[in-house]
This record gives sequence, C-alpha cells and structure tokens, in this order.
Amino acid sequence: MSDRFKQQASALLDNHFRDSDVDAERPFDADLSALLDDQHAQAAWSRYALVGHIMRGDAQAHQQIDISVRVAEQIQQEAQPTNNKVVQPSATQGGAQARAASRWLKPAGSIAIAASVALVAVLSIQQPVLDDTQPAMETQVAPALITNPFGGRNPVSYNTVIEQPTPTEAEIAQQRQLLQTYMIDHQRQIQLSLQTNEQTTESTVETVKESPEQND
Amino acid sequence: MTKYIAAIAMWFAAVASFAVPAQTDERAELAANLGQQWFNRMADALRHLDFEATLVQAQGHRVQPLVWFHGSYDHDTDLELLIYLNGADMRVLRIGEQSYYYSAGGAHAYTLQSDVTFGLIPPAFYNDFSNISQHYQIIASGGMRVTGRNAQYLRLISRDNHRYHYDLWLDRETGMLLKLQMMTPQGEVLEQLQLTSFAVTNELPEPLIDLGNFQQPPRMYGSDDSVPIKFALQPDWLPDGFKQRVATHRALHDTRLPTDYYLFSDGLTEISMYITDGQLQNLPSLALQGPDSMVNLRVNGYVVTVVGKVPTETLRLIAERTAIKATKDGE
Repeated sequence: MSDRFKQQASALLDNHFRDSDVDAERPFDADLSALLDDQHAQAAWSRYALVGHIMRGDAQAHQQIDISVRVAEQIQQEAQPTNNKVVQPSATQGGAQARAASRWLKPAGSIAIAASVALVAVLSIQQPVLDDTQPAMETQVAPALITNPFGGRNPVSYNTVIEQPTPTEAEIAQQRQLLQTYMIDHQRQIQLSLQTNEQTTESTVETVKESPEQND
Repeated sequence: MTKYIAAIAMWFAAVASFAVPAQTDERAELAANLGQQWFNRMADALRHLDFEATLVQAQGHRVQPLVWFHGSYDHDTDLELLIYLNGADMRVLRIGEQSYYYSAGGAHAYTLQSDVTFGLIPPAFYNDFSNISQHYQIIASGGMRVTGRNAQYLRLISRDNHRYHYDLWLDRETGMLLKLQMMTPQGEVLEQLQLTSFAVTNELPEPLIDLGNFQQPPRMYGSDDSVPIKFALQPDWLPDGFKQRVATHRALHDTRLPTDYYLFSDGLTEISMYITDGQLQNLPSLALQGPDSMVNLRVNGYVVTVVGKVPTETLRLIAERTAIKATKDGE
C-alpha cells in the first residue's frame, strides 16, 4: 500500500478528502472508491479512527480490534510443523484500554441517603477466664469480627476478662455484635462531636483562621 | 588526663551545689518549651503545608497504606485528600470546614462540618498545644532519621497514667509529622503511623487542583441531643481534665437499646459512656484493651459500657465509680 493511500485515508477521516485529479476524465469519486476497495487502506482508516478516539478520550474500553486473522495465521503456522507442541498464544495487544486514569473518585450516582457510617471494627476477642481456680488451658479464642469505620478499625486485642461462665457460641456472636455496636457508635459520636465542637469554638479560635468562608 | 580529673571535680562540685536542681528544672522547662514550639509547628504544617505523602497506619496486626495530599487553596481554605489503599476504596476529602467521607460504591458516604479529617491523627494535633497543655506535657528530646529526613523527636505524655502516650517524630525542615506511635503508659505500642514518602510540593498537589463537580454526600446529623438522661446511675469520677460534652438519653443505633449516653473529652481523647438497664443488655463483664479500649461492667442493676482511647484500667475506674443519683424527673 502506498503512502498516498495512507494520506488519503487520513484525509478522508478528517473530511479533507479531495479527488486528486478532478479535471481528468475519470469519475469524480474514482480515487475514493479505489481507496474504499483497498483492504490496507480500510485497516489504516480504522486505526486512524481509533487513534482519534483515544486522543479525544472517548474510546470505549471494549473497542474491538480484529486480530482474528492474525491469530488464525499464527495458529496455523505453529500447529502444523509439530503436532504435540502447545499452541503459544501470541502476545498481541488486545485491549485498547484507554482509560483516562480517574484522578478523583466519582462517587457514582449511588450515593445512598443513609447518613450513617460504614463503620467497621475489627474485634479480635480473646477471652481468658480469669478465674484463679481454672487452668489457663480453657481460654477460648473467639474468631475475629469484621466491620469498617473510618479510622476506627481498631483491632481490639488481648486482655478480655470474663468473670462468668463461658457463654455459648450463639451468645458470643450476639455479644460480639453488641460490642461492635458500641465501638461504632463511639466512632460516630466522636465525629459528630467534631461538628458541634466547631460551632462552639469557632468564635474563640480566631487566631488560626482570620475570616473563614462561610458559604464554602 | 588532668582535664578529665578537672572535669570530674567540677561535675562533683556542680552536683553538690544547689545550682543543679535549678539547672535541671531549667533544662526540663527548655525541653518543654521546645516541645511546645515543635508541636505548634506541626499544627501549622498540617494546616498550611502543601505536600503529598504516602504512609502506613498500623493498629495491632493490621496495616493500612494510605496516600495523603494536602494543600492550602488560599489563606483560609486548606484542602486535604486521604485515600485508603487496601480493601474497600475509602476516601476522605476535606475542603476547608467541610469533610466528605466516601466508601466504595458510595453507599455510606457522608459529610461532616469539620475542619479536621477524622481517622488519621487526633484532631488536637491540628491546633495549638495550649489547648491540651493542662493534662499533657510535651518534651523535645533528640531526634533521628525518619522517612529519610532529619527528624525531631517529641514525647507527648499525659500528666497522669490514665491516658495513652504519644511519640512523635517531626521533620526538622518543615515541622511535618513523619511518624507517630500511641502507646500505653507501660510502653506497649498500640497504634503507629509512619510516612513512607513525603514531598513538599510548594503548590497545591495535583489531585487537589481540579476537583470539579464531585458529589457532596448527605450531611451526617446526630440524634436529638436534647432528651435528658433517664437512669439514676450516673458517672461520678473521671480522670482530671475530662469534661462532659454530651449527656443524653437515646436508643442505641443498631440495637435500639434505650441508653443514657455521655461523651467526655480532655481535648485530645474522647471517652463514651453508655448506661443501660441490666435486664436488657446481656454482655458479660469484660475489658478489651486496644487502640480503642472497652469495659463492660454491671453496677447496681445497670450495665455500664465505657469506650475510648485510654487504658482499660481507666475505663474500669470510670465504670466502677458511678453512683446512684436523683434524676430531675424521677425515674
């Protein structure tokens, strides 16, 4: 394929396509149809179009690039000489994943009106029975429990002291849930207190911020 | 040799004279003053420095890597962005006095009207040391290399043993916090923060420049604080400096347990106290020690649950030293 075809394909893409010799006897769109008939020119056109899409940022993640022909060729080439050879997939770049790296989180439409906190406390609870009469062997380790608060994911470790008969598993599960409720509520209350704190101290702490923007 | 003898003789002379206590006092005072200066420099850096940093936060066996961007937009407004890198995508964006908390999918996003970002470092670190100087002292002593930089070492110690202590390492050049350890009075480290990279950008870091039209999640509101407490059992003792910030009766969020709730703060540390009818809450008496400690105790037919970043021993004392008092509207 000639450079001329490439140029023309490019020109066609940019809407600048002109027939090279309009004044000649041939029909007006002779070059165009020649171009359209040429497979290489078609391929070039689709590559240019893809490049254009990527550069404008509107390429789709699953843009299809037809590699079937080359894959088929490759398979034929490799499969025929030795039958027991495993077909190596050729490392053809498949996905034009032109994902503009999202620099900032878009809390996509799914903001629920739940004004609650996704709070998680990792509680790993050890429950040694601190009764002197009982041997240390009977310590029971409850499995960890997982939730999720901001900054509050504190593994509550060690030193659980239970001064009562060992509860059943269902009870433990229920208790852990309750423990977690307290931990989460504590985190939530602190965060809320940051707000009220703001209102009360704003007038006194004027040295730090001279004129806070009220409407921002 | 004679030099050494002379030095030793002079040292003994110094020990013998009364100048010494005065001198050590002076030195301690100097260290404290220096400590305060450094602390305030840190508070200033956290507000005004343009930086980008990566860090890890370790609590017990859990380690969480984060990236941290901060910059000031103008003299009044500073911007901050925290991104948690492990697990669910959680981010905190703060613009001046609004902080937005996002978690993966946005299902639990919320907004707080607060000029500090919750979850990374104590909010008190953003403010002048004088706010907490009554119950904590800070001592500057030596330094070492942290995050590849020269660091000043500070000890933030409570004046009694009812609170946790903090060790801080600040960048000598900018005053920025490079490393933090929270530990029990016995020295067991419970929580750590360590910057792994730190760069001053001298302008707003790139991720903060074009925030565009991000979505503002709904504002978080507390439950009505105006309902007075109902139960006769009330707190009667707190470590020095803890002041009551909230006292209200409400149903606990998830369990709907009717509870008297108290929040206390000494400016750096918060303690929550929950008092419930002993019939309704079936937790055994227990104590959990960790970054957030918790004590659950049965007292006079009530259950007292206390939670906070203090040693369990403190919480136990608070829970034990409750007293039956007459409430205003009887029972």
